[in-house]
Amino acid sequence: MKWHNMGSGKFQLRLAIAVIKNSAFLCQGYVKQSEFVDRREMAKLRIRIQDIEQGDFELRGSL
Amino acid sequence: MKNSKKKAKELVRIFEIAVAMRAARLSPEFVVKSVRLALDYDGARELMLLWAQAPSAQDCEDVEADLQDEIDAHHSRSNLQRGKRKVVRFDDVELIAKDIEGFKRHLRRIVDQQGGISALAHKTGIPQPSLSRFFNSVSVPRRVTLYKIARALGLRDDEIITNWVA
Repeated sequence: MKWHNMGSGKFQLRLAIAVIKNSAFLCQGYVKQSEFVDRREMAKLRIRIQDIEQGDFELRGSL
Repeated sequence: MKNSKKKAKELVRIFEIAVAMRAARLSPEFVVKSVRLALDYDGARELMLLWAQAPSAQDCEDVEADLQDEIDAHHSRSNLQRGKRKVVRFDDVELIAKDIEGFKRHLRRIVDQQGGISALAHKTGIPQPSLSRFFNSVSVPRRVTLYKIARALGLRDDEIITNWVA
């Protein structure tokens, strides 16, 4: 998980990154609001990781 | 042995939550698709458990919208050929967002003329929070969602497909 403070530190942008087989995949980004939101986003990240491990994903951009 | 017992308990819990979702008037189509996803994905199972533990109605609705997003994402991927999607250049993101915003605004006007979001949720079987998220965000719409909306509004498929569709 990477995060950046924005708007004079009022918002925390969290970037959920999965590192799989030497590649880093930025799967989603969200603004931290509560523990419940974190749990939702982690559940979605688990789905993304399972898809990537199965080769079921599309690259929509790269840096 | 211990693991299989734990797994069985988890599955029973998923079915209990499915019954609770029906009792909460979520559409049968949505509930069945959520369970199917939960059987394949640990993360989807976690989302269903979170729905049952949501501390507020808003949190509950957010999880419903998450589940619908995942259902649509997996439906799209299993029904479309790969390798034909557009890659988004970082420099184009703002322009694309404006394009999508305009498209959704136009679509929202048609929805409002036909009874609004609640009526659309009833006709499509898509939970209302998911539709609200759809119209209030500039995320790229999914083809499967657009087709459902087109059918509900009596629009032809070619009237509803935008340049930017996932």
